[in-house]
This record gives sequence, C-alpha cells and structure tokens, in this order.
Amino acid sequence: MTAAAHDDEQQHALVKRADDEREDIFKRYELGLDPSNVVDSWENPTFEIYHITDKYGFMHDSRLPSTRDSQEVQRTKIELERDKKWMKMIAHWPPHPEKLHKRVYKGIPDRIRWPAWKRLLHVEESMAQNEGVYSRMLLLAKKYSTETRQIDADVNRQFRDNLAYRERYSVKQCSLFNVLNAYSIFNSELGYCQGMACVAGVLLLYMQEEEAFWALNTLITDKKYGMHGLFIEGFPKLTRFIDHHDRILSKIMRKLHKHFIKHNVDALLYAIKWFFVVFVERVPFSLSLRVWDIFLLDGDRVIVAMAVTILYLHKDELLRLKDMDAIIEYLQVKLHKNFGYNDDDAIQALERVMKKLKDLKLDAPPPAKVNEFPTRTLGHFVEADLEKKIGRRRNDYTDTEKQVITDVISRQEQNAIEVQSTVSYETSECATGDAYSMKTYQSITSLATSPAISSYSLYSNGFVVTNFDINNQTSRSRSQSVHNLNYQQQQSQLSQQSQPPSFAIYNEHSLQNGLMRHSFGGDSDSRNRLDVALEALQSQKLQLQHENNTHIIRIVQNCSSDVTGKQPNNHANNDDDEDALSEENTRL
Amino acid sequence: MTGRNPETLMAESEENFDFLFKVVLIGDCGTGKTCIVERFKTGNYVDRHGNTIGVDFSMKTIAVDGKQVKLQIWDTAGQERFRTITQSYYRSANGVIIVYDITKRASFSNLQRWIEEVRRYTASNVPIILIGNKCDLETEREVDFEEVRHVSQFIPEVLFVMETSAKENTNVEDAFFCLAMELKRLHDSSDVTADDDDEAIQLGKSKPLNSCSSSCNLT
Repeated sequence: MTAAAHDDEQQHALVKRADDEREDIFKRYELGLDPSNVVDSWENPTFEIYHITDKYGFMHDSRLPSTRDSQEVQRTKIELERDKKWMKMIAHWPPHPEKLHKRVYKGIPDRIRWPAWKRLLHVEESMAQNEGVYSRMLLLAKKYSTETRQIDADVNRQFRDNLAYRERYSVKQCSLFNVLNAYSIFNSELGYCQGMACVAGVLLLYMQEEEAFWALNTLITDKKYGMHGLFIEGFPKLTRFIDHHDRILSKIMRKLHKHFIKHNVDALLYAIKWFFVVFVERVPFSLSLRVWDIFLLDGDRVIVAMAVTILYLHKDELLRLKDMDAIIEYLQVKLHKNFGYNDDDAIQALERVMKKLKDLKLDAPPPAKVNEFPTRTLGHFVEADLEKKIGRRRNDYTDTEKQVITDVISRQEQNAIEVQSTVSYETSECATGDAYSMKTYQSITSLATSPAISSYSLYSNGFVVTNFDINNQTSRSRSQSVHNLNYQQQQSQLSQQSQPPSFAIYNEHSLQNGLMRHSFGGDSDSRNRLDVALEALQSQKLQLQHENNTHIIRIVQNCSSDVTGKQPNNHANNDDDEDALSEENTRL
Repeated sequence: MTGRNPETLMAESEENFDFLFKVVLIGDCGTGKTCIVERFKTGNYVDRHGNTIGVDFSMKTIAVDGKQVKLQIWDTAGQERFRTITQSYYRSANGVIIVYDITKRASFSNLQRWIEEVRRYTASNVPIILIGNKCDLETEREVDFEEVRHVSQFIPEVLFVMETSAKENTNVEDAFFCLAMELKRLHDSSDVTADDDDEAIQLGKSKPLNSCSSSCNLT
C-alpha cells in the first residue's frame, strides 16, 4: 500500500469515527427519556431533592420563604393588572412606541414573556417566511454538523439547576440540542460558539423549539442585536464593545477604572460573559430577564449601559476589595447570588445610566464593521473541511485570528503602562533595601500577572529572573527597579517626541528580542511577540498621548526617581476626581 | 495614592503567602477543567457547571515545605474559537496544566496541538503537567496511561503525567501540590543562580522531568 493510500485510509477512518460519534449522540437524543437510553448516574442529579425551585424553575441551595410577604402580595397584584394590559396591547400590535417603552422598562410580566418576546423578535413573521427551513436544517445537521460534540457537552451543563433542563435528555435539553445543531448549519459561517447555548436556553424557557430557533436567528443576524459579531471567529463586536466599555470607565468612573487596572482586572475577564449572554448567570435571573426585556426592545446599547450600571451600583464595594481574586469573585459569583438592589431599583438605575451616557454621547459604541454580520447566505449548506469533521484543533491561524491576538496583546500592553504608572513607585521603594526581599517579590508578581510586563523583562522563563539583562552586567541585581527601567526605556523609545534628554542614560540597556518566542504559525513569520507588541504600542502612542496625556509623562517621572533614589514628587493621580456619575449617588 | 505611605500600602494588599505562581489550565472542551479547579479550590464536586466562556480565575494557597504558596489559577475555555483570547493568558504563566479526558481519544490526540500553542505563547520552557481526568470511568477508557507516559517522554517541558478524577477526588490535590512544589523548587534554584553569578538562568533546560519528584503516587 502506498503512503498516500495509507493516509487516505486513515483519514477515512477518522471521518467515519466522527460520523459514528455524531450518529450515536443523535440517537441518544432521539431516545430522549426512554428508559433504554443509557444515562450516567451523575447526569441526572436526582439526589438534589432538597432544593427548592423558584418561579423561573431554578433550584436554590436553601429553602425559599414559604409565605409571601406583603410586598410580594402587592407585586403579584400589580403583575396581574399588567397581564391584562399586556394582553390587550399584544392583541393590537404594534403599540405606540412610548407606551411600549414605558411598559417594557417596568418589566414584561413573566406570563406574557412568551407572546411579548415573540413579537419583539418577529418570530411569527420569520416562521411564516421560512416554512420547512427549520426541519430541513435539523436533518442536514444530523448528517453534517461538526459542532455536535461541543453542543452535546454544553447542553449537558446548561441551566442544570433549572427544572426544565435538570433531567438529562429532557424535552428542553433535546430542544436546545436541536436548535443549536440546526443553527450551526443554517448559519454555517458562525457554526456554534459557547455562549449561544445560554442564549438559546433562555429563549427556550419561554418558547417552543422552532420559535426559539428563529428568535435566536433574529438576535444573531438583526443589526439591532448583532450577536453574530459577538460569536464569530475573532469576536469583532466583543472587542469593539469592551473598548467602548473601557472608554466609558476612564471617563466617568476613573477611580474604579484605576482600581481595576491596579489589580489587573481586565474588562475581558468579566465582560465576555456579560456581553455574550446579556448578563444571565452574572446577576440574579429575575434581573437578567428584566435586562433581556429591555435588550429585546432597545437593542445592544443596553448591554453597554447595564455593564456601567452594575459597576456604578457596586463601585464602593469594589473599591474596598484589594485583590483581583476578591474583585472577580464579587463580579462573577456574589452579584449572581445577591445583587444587593431589588430589580426595580436596578432597572431605574439602568435607565438613568442610559440617559447619562446619551448626554455624554457615550451611549453607542463606534459603528459595527462589515465583519460583524454574516457574509454567507443563511440556510445555504456548506460542507465542512476535513479537520473540522475530525474535530482536530487547527494549527494555523487565520488573518482575523492574528489580528485579534495582536489586539488583545496590545490591549494588555496598554493596561500594563497604566499599572506601571500607578505601581512602579511602590515597588521601587521596596527594592532599594534588599534586592530581592519578599515584598519586592510580591510586587513583582502582582505586576507580572499583567502579561504585558512579563513579555518585556520580568520573566524569561516563567520565573522571576533577576539578571535578565544579559547584555548589561551592571544592571543585573537590584531587580525590580532595573526591570522597571528596562520597560520604561522601551516606552521612552516609543515616545521619542516626548522624550526628555535625561533618557539618554538608559540607552545602554538594550532590548532583548531574541529571548522571546512568538510566531503566528508559519516559520516565515518570524516576528517575535515583542515586535508585535511594540508595533501595537507605536500605533497607540498618539492616542495615548492625546487621550490620556498623563501616562507617558508619569512614567518618565517615575523613571527618573528610580534612578536618583528620590521619592517621586509627582505621582498624584486623579483619584480625587469626582466621578461624572456621582451626582446620581444620593438618588440611589 | 497621593501622600500615602508605601509601607502601609503594601501592608494593605499583603497577604499571607511566600510565593505566588500563575497556573493556566487548558485542554479540550468538556475534559473537566472547571470541575478540577472547583474540586481543588472548594473541595466540592459540582456536576452542573456551566461552560467557561473566555477565562475564569481563582486562587488557592497551599503549604509547600513550610512555605505558603499561592496559586493563581486561570481556567480557560476549551473551544478553539476562544484561543485568540485565552492564549494571551499563557504569556505570563509559571506553569501550565493540560487536561485531557481519558474516555475521549480525541482530547488526547489534540495534546500535541495544545503543547504547540503553549510553546508559541509562553516564555521558554514553562513547565507543563498533563492530567488525564475522569479516571473513575475506567470502563470507558480510550487512552492508556502508559501511552501518555511514553509520549510525554518526548516532550521536555512535561514534568509529569497524572490521572485524576474530579468526581471522586482522586489525585486532584496531588496534581496541584506537585506542580506547586516543582515551581517552588525551580524558583529556588533560579534564585540561587541569580545570587551566584551573572549567567543567564536556563530553567527547564536543566531538568526535564517525567515524573513528579515528590512522593506522590503517579497512578
């Protein structure tokens, strides 16, 4: 047998394997709850009998109050009244925009969410225009979807604390599986991205399977929601929104922004989930539904405003937390369990933030680029390539991916500059005594959690290395301040226009390009990560100087103080600045 | 920070630890990365974890040789699409844990690709440990332990291979403990070298380990 034939056979076997696997998974979903369907015992959490379920079907770890307090009785009464008004409004769709706006912001009554969400997302129109498409997509998915394994894994863990999804292969689990598989074929360019299971999962709590499919499609392809750009390779919309989020923070919540930067809390850490699934599982479910109501009405700028609202409402608490662990825990876990404000108050705050952002012309991020929307015809079947069929991780990087990596890195570099500007003063102080005291070490590690700095000089092999600068023996010890200098010197090279004469003395510390390993998949591309980062920095230089013209200057100041051993006499920052939102403080 | 004493400032954020290492967890989707972290962090096993979107983050401090070692653990999304984001977190990692699922051959076949990614995006010679999770599912095993051990001998960065079960709490703590110990050991030796002379340190090149040097059980 020739080598080629052998390869061919091997590939064939791999494809066959993937095919069989998909077929098998499908079979299990078709069997559904049939007793013959083999389920691992852990897949059905029957032992969780003591959990108590809330009105949305979510189970909690402790018993919910069995009696309703007067407030809740009142709320129920109001909601019943609203039910009636909404029924009338839905019967006479479309309503007057102002009326709709007012009512949506008060919260769509839960019983009305099914018809209301369907109206807002044009589900019935889509279904009428696309008769038979869903079932065709599902059939194609069964035969060709390459996302089945991933979807299966995610369905198996989505909302498992909700009655509807609790049981393995329950009706809703099967619907979720089908919708996502069918959609991966319908929008083959997008396929399936983690996060979509959560979005579709919420829709399915209020809709039937095919309805949820078209609702999902509206959320993904309609310009108003544009989730395609969030989930597509390279996440162009995520980047755009996070940049905008940062911009807002730096303008109206400076203190918190600095606090986050100081503790290496990058918005990428908390905002991905916020934006991908519109705050589900990051705030209490009832509140996330209220945000969804508004999102479905007013589109994606709600996401920007809600992110600001959360941080604003919890600003004081967050400022009290002194490390990344605590801050992230607070944003990811604590707020989900207990938001600290009731839903109505939170939504009122959201409305005020939206208004404020509008006044400041910060309500809308820069416009979307074309790559945020599908370019392929929806519903047009495209067979996947071999690697995808087998499910092998790709080795090569598309241009989009390279761009994203560069962007993410440069974003971290920029944050690092700001960390540097706030922290280097502390570290240089500590380093003056013992070159390698524990305190210095802690400072180093706190700096080093920002990857940007490590890519320059702190780490060359993942460990703190005190003699990084092999070209310059004299700078070997007195670790941190030297590293700071190495780093700062790069900044100075980048900012030559603003470079004061005193920088000449650092030029002997030359840059160690060779130590870094960085390429984008091809040997031909020998640029190392430093080059990439430097380029990125260079491109940001002007922006930095314009937008935040204190940074580079501050680095220069710190730098000179490091050398002279003098206390920096000007490390003042804007901590005492009033936040633009603070006038709202008393009203909340 | 105007007018604040740097000493008190340090004290404010000072915690009770002697070392801090950043560890990144990677591996195919559904191999149990988040369950492993959860088990290690809280001691609990939660079988209804959501999927990790982007990166997640937790910390735990353990005692190694009488020192408090704080591990900063970055749990990453396994889906390929997220690599553009997660890889930026590799960059300052002190150690990498690659998790595969012993019941999913494909998750093992992808190991090579994962290692290439680590090599591309971390500083040189960051130590890696391999974890074969779900070893409680012996009947569904598709990846033989000996095979992984054999393969790992050809990957100098790999310190050791270990099979774990987050569900039954087998070896989870040991895996982190051994890694922490190796990181501390490598750190200690780098420290010594730094004090000795001005040679550049070449960690990792010196001692590629195939097994954990501690007393932990590697089965």
